[in-house]
Amino acid sequence: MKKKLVVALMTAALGMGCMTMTAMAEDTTIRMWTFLDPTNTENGRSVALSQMIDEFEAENEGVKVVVEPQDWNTMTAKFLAATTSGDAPDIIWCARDELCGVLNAGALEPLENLFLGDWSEDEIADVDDAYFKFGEKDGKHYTLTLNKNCIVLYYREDLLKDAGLEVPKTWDDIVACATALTGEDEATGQMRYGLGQSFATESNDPQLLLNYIVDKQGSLFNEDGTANWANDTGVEAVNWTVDCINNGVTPKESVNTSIEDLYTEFASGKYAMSIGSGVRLSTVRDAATFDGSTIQITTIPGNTIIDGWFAGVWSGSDNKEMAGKFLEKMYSPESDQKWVELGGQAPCRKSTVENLEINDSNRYLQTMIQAFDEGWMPSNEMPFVGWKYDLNPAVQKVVTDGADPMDVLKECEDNFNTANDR
Amino acid sequence: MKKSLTKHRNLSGFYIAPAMAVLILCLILPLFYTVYCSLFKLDYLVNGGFVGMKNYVTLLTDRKVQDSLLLTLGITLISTLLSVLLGLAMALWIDRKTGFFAYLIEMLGLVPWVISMVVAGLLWRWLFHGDLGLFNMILRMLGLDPIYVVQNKVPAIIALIFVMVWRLVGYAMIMILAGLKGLDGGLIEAAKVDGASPFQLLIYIKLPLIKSSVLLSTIVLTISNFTNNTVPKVLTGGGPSNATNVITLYQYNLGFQYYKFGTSAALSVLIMLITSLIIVLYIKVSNYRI
Repeated sequence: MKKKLVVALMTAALGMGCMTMTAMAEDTTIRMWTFLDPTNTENGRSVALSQMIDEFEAENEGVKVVVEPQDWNTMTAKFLAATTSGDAPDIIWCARDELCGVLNAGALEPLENLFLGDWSEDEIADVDDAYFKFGEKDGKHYTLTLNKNCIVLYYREDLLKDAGLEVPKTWDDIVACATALTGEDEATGQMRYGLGQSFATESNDPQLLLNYIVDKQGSLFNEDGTANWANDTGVEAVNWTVDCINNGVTPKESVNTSIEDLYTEFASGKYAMSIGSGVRLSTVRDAATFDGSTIQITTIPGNTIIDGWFAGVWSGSDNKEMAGKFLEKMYSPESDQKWVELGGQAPCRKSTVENLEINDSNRYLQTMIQAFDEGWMPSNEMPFVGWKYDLNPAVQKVVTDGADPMDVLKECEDNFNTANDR
Repeated sequence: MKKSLTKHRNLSGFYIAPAMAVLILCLILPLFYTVYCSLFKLDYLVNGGFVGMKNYVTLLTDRKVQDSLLLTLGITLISTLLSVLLGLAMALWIDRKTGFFAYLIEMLGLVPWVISMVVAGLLWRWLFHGDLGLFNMILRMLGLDPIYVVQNKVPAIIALIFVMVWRLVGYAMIMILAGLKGLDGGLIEAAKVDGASPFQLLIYIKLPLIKSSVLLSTIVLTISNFTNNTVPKVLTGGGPSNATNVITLYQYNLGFQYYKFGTSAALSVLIMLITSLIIVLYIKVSNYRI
C-alpha cells in the first residue's frame, strides 16, 4: 500500500513536472523592439517581418514573438533605460550612432555565444562586410544589420527628362538641375522647388552640407574624434547650402523642416529633387500624388553617407537562445530575399546581391548597393552622437540671423565636442 | 466614543494606503531616484562615477540653459496669463447663458484640451505651413504676403504661445465656470438690491469668491505650460535658431539625443524646483490658505 502511494505520488510529481515544462515551452515569448509594426499591412517591410514571425512561430512550437513597435528616434535610449530596470526586450534594433554606447554598456550578448560560433567560414564570408565589422568589439560580434540604408538624392525622372537634364553627378549639376526645375508645377499650379533639404535640429538625417564636407576633406572628424567643421571647407559647405536657400531652389522654411516633413512634401509634389533615405523610397512612391514610379534615387557627389539598423540580443535576456534563433531567422538567406522583394530593402547578404535581378522597378537597389560599397560612416571606436544635425543650427543661424558662417561653425564644433566628451 | 474615533482613524489609514502606495511608487521613489542619478555621470546609462554637484554647476553656468530658462519662463507667463484671462472672460459670458447653447460652448471649449498634444501640434504645424498651409492660403486670397510662421523667430514664438493658449483656454474656462456656478445666488441678489453695478459685482463679489478656482487653474496651467515638451517639439522643434528651444526640449535632447542621463536628471530636478517655487509664489501672492 505504502509502495503504491509512493509510486502514485512520484507519477503525479512527474506529470506535474512535464506539465510545467510544457507550459514553460508554451509560454516562451520573445519581445522585440523595432520601428516596424508587423500588423501594418501597408508597409512592405512590416509585411516581410510579419511573415518571418509566422514562419518562426510555426517552426518553434510554443514560442511567440511579440513586436513592440517604437519611435525610431528614441528607441535606443529607451532600450538603455530598460536594461537598467531589467525590462528590456530580448531583441533590440540599435541605431548606428548609438551602437558604440550600447556596446560599451555591455547591453548586448556576443552572437558567437548564440549561433555565430556554429556558422561555417562560407556563411561568415557571406555577411562579412563593413556593417558586420561595425558591430564588432574586442573580437566578438554583437549585431547583424537588418536594414542597410543610405542617404541619397531623390529625383523625379519625369521632370528631369522633360527638361532635358541628366541625373546630377556633381555639386554644380545639383544646383543647375534644381534651378532649372524650380517654378510653378504645370499640373498642380503648386510652387515646386528644385531641391528639398531639412535643417530641423532633431530627428533628422544628414543633410547635403555634411556630404559636401566629406567629399572635400574625406571625413567630418579629426583622428581624435573631434569635429572638423570650422574651416574653409565648412564655410564653403554652409555657403553652398545658404545659396540654395537664398536663390530659392530650396525653400526658406527648410530651416525648420524635419525629414518627415520632407518626405510628405516630396510625395505631394513640392520638390523635384530632395535628400532622403534609401529605405523610405517605396513608402514615398506609394504616397506620391503623382506617378510614384518616376521617383528614382542617385548617390551624392563624393561619398554617400551610409546608415543602418543593428539588431542584437539583450545580454540580460532570459531567452537569449531563442532570441538569437529568431535574429538568425531574420537574417537567413530566405528572409533577406523577403526584405528585398516585399520590403523593397537593399540586400544584406552578398549571396542575395549576386542573385539579384535588376530591372526598371528595382533600379534603385543598384544605387543603394553602390552606395554601400563606396559610402562613408563614422568609426565605431568611439561614440559619435548628434553629428547628423549638429551642423543644422549653422544653416539656421546664417539664414535667420545673418550670422558669420565661421563663427557658427565654431559653435557647432564646440557643441558636438562637448556632447561627445572630446 | 474615543475608542470609535481611534478605530476610524486606523481605518482611514487603511483606506488611503492604496493611493499612498501608488503615489510613493510612481512619484516619490522616481523623484528620489532622479535626484540620486543627477549626482552621477551617467552617459548612455553607464555609471561613470559620483560627480556630486558637477552636473548642476555645468547646467547653471551654461549660457544656453540660462537663455532657455528665461525663454520658457516668458512663454509660460504670457501663455498662462492669456489663457486665464480669456478663460475668465468666457466663463463670465457662459455663466449668463443657459440651455443647449451654454452646454455646446462648454463642450467645444474643452475640445483642444482633450485632443492629443501631438495631434494638436501637427495640426497647427500644417495650418501654418508656408506653401501648403491654410493660414497662408487665406492671406494669399486676401492679397497679402504669406508669413512663414514657424520658420522665423518672432512668428515662431507667437505661434507657440498661441497654440498653448488655444489648448488651455477651455480648461481655464471650465474650472472658473465651476467656481461661478458654485456661488451663493443670495449674495449676488443682495448686492444687486444694494445697487451694485455689474462691474462692482464682478470685482467685489464674484472674483474674490472664485479666487480658489482661478488660482488652481493658474497653477495647473503654469505647470502644464512650463513642462510642456510635446507642443514645442512637434510645432517648432525648438527652432529656428533656438528661438523656441524651451527648457523641456533642452532636457529631452540631453537625455534622448545626447544620452547624458546624469545631466538630464539634474535639469529635471532644477525644473521641478522652479515649478515648485512658482507655485509657492502664487500661493503667497494670493494669500491662499491650503
